[in-house]
Amino acid sequence: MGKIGNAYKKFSSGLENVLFFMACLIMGGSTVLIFVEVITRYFFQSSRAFMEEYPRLFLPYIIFPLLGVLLKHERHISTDLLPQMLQGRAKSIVKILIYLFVLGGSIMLLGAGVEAVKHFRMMGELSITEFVIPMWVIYLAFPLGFAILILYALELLVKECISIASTAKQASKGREEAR
Amino acid sequence: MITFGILLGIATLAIGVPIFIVFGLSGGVIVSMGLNLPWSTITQITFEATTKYILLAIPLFIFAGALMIDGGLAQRLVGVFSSFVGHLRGGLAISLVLAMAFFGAISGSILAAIVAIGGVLIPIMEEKGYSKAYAAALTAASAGLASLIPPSNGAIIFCAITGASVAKAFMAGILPGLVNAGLLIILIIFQCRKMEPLPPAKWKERWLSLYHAIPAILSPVIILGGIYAGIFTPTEAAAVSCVWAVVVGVFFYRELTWAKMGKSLKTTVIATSIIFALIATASFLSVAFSYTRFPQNLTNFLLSVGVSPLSFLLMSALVCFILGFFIEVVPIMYLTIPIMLPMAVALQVDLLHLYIATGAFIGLGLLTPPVCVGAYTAAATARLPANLVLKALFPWFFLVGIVYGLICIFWPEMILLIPNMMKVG
Repeated sequence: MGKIGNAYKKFSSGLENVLFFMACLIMGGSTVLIFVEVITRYFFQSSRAFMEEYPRLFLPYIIFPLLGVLLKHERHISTDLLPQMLQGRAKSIVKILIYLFVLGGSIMLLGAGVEAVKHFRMMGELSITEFVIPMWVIYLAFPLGFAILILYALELLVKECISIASTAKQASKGREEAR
Repeated sequence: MITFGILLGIATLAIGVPIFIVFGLSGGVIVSMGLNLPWSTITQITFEATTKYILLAIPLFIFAGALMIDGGLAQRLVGVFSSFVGHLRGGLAISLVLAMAFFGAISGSILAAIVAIGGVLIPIMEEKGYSKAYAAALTAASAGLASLIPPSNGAIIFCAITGASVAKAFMAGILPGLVNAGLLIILIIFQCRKMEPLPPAKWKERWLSLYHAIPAILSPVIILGGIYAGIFTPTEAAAVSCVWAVVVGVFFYRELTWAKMGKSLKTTVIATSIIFALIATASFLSVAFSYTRFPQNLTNFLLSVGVSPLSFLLMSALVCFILGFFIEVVPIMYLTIPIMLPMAVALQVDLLHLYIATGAFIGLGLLTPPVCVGAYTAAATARLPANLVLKALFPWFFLVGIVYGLICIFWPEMILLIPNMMKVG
C-alpha cells in the first residue's frame, strides 16, 4: 500500500505540474499571438486568422484540465457554510458526500464530452484557420478535463475515507486503553 | 424532472459542492432527462459559451493585473494617491478608494485590485491608527469600483451574454464608478472625522511619487485610448496591457523577473479555470432554462400585469441581491441576464441601464455571506478572520452599496450620459 501510495503521489503531483505548464504555455502563447496580431495589423496592414482563432480555440485546454487540480487545492467557489460549521466525523461525512456528487457530476459530463468528441470525429469538422485543426481535438479538452477531475475526486474520496477509518480506529483503541 | 433538477441544485449548493458542479449536475438532469436533448448538446453549449473571442479579454486583463502587482505598479499608484490626499482626515482611506478606482481602470479584475491595493495599503493604514478590520472592509467595499471603471470584466461578460457593445458598456461604468467612489469618500470623511490628520507630504515628494507613477497612470490611457481610437478591440487591448505591464515592470521599475512572470501566469490560469468553469456550466443551465420557455412566459406574464420599467428594474435588482448571498457574481449574470433580457427589450429598458443597475446589486454579492468572495479575499489579504471583516462591513458600507444601487436604478441619465456623448459603436 505504501509503495503504491508513494508512486501515486508522485504521479499526481507530476500530472499537476504538467497541467499547469500546459495551461501557462497556452496563456502566454495566446497573449503573444494577440499582441503580434495587433502590431502586424496596425503597422503592416496584414492579419493572420490563426492569431485570433487559436487563443480562442485553445482556451478550453486552460479551463477543463485544471478543474481536478483546483478541486484538490480547494480553490473552486462553493457555499462552504455547512462544512465550516461541522467538525470531526460529521465534517468528513459531508466531505465524502461532496466528493461523491463531484464524481457523479464529472462522470455525467465526461459522458457528454465523449459523445461530443465522437460526434465531431464522425462529422470530420475542421477549424477555419491557415493551419487546420480537427474540431474534435479542441472538444477533447472537455472529456479530458472531467476524466482528470474524476481521478482527483477519487483521490480525495479515498483520503477522506482513510482518515475516517483511522480516526475510528484510534478512538476504539483509546476506549480499550481507558478500560 | 425539471423540478428534480432544481431541487438537486439547491441541495448540492447547500452542502458545499463546488458551484460549477452544482450547475453541471442540475443542468444535466434538466437537459437530458427533462428535455430529452442529446448528451453532446451539453458540450456544444459550454464550448460556445467559453470560446467567445470577447471573453478572452477576461484572462488577459487578469494576467495584466497580476503582472502589475508583481511588477510594482500598484505600490506606485498607492504612493501617488497617499502623498496627495493622505494628510486629510481619513486620507489613507480616501487614497485606498482612489487607488482602487484607478487600479480598476487598468486591470478590470476585482480580486486582483483587492490583493494589489489592499496588500499595500492595509498594513500602512493599520500602522497609522486605522483598525485592520476597517481597512480590509473598506478594501472589499471599494472593490466594486474595479468592476465599474473600465475595463471591467463584468461589462465583458454582460456583453458576451446580451451582444451589447463592449465599448459602450465600458463608457457606461465611468460615472457610476465615480458616484460610488464619491459616496464611499463621504462615508469615510464622516467615519474618520475624529481621527488625527497625518502631516502633509512635501511638494517635492508629491511630484516624485507622481513621476514614478507615470507609467502606471499611462496604462488606462493606452488601454482605453486604443479601444476608443479604434486601434484595437477590448480583447486586443487586454493583450496590449499585458505587454505594457511587462515593459513597465521589467524596464521602468525593474521588479518583474522571469519567476514573477511565471507566478503571474499561474495565478491567471487558476483564476481563468475557476471563472470559466462557472461560465461554462452556468450558461449551460441558463440554456436549459430557456428551453423550458421560462423567460418568455415570465415576460408575457409581467407584461400582462402591466409592470413598468422602473418596477422591473427594482424586481431584477432584488432578485440579484438575494442570489448574491448564495451564488458568485459570474453565474448570477449567466442565470439572470438571459431571463431579464427579453423583458428589458419588451419594456424598452436600455441595456446599459440594465447592466449598471443590476450590476450594482450583483456586486453587493461580493460582500454578502456565505458566498462573498470580495470580503474573503480582503480578509485573506489582511490576514484576518472573515467574520471580523464582515462585521466591519455592516451596516455602513453595505448601506452605501444599496444607496448607490438605487441611484443607478432611478438615474439612468447618469449611466447613459457618456456613452451617448461619445457615440461609440
